[in-house]
Amino acid sequence: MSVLEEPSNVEDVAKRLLEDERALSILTLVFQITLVKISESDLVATYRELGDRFKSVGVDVEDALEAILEHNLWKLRQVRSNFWGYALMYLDFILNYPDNAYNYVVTLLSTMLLLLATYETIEPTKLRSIGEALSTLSEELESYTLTFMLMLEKPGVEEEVSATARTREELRRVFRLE
Amino acid sequence: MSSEYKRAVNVRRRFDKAVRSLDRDLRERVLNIVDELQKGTISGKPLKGPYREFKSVGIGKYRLIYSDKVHCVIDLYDIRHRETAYI
Repeated sequence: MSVLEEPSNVEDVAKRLLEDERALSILTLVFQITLVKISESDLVATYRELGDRFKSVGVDVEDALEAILEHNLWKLRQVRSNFWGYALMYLDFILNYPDNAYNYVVTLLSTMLLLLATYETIEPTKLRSIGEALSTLSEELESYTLTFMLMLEKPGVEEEVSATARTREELRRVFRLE
Repeated sequence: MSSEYKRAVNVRRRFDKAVRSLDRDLRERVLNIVDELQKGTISGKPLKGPYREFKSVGIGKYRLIYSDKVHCVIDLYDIRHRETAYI
């Protein structure tokens, strides 16, 4: 069953793809080309175009697309400007949290498949189904984005507790809302 | 009248720094989110790997990162703006 026919089953398709070595070889090649060829503004323009396709049929996926774009922009920046830091962090993630790492790849690949499927249809019902699947997956992807961001930041004094509030009024003072 | 929280709220330095940079309306919204976390009417989405004990809650373009792992404590860890220029 294709992603376009049943967007909610996209993760099963992604898992099958991950077991196909030929498909993975091609995906690896595509990824390498992308790193050389795609600029941040290209990426933003593509997501804007995708957003417009959904908007044209009244489907709101702005939040989901933003979360997916953020993940991919951040990763592009890391690979280009902090390659070793990013690679070591990712290796640490794969070695120490293999289940999370596998689920991350499935989630990422699933979002890509759904975005590609978006270009294959103009039918509002199909775009709506794709949008729903994207929204669910984007929340999961955002959890990985935040995790990776935090993993790359070195712990320091900013980790210390600076205040403790036991009442709403105390917290208002901490937030300078008096 | 003082409204005592069921759980103490710890504020990390990075959270404190981030919250100070927000405008008053957003700080009010963050306060309301903390109230909802206290009441248990909302719960964040868990992060992964070494940060699996942390959760995130969206506040518009911001994400509040916290932990409720320790009994009777809500640990406010960070607030982050989504890093994208989309739309």
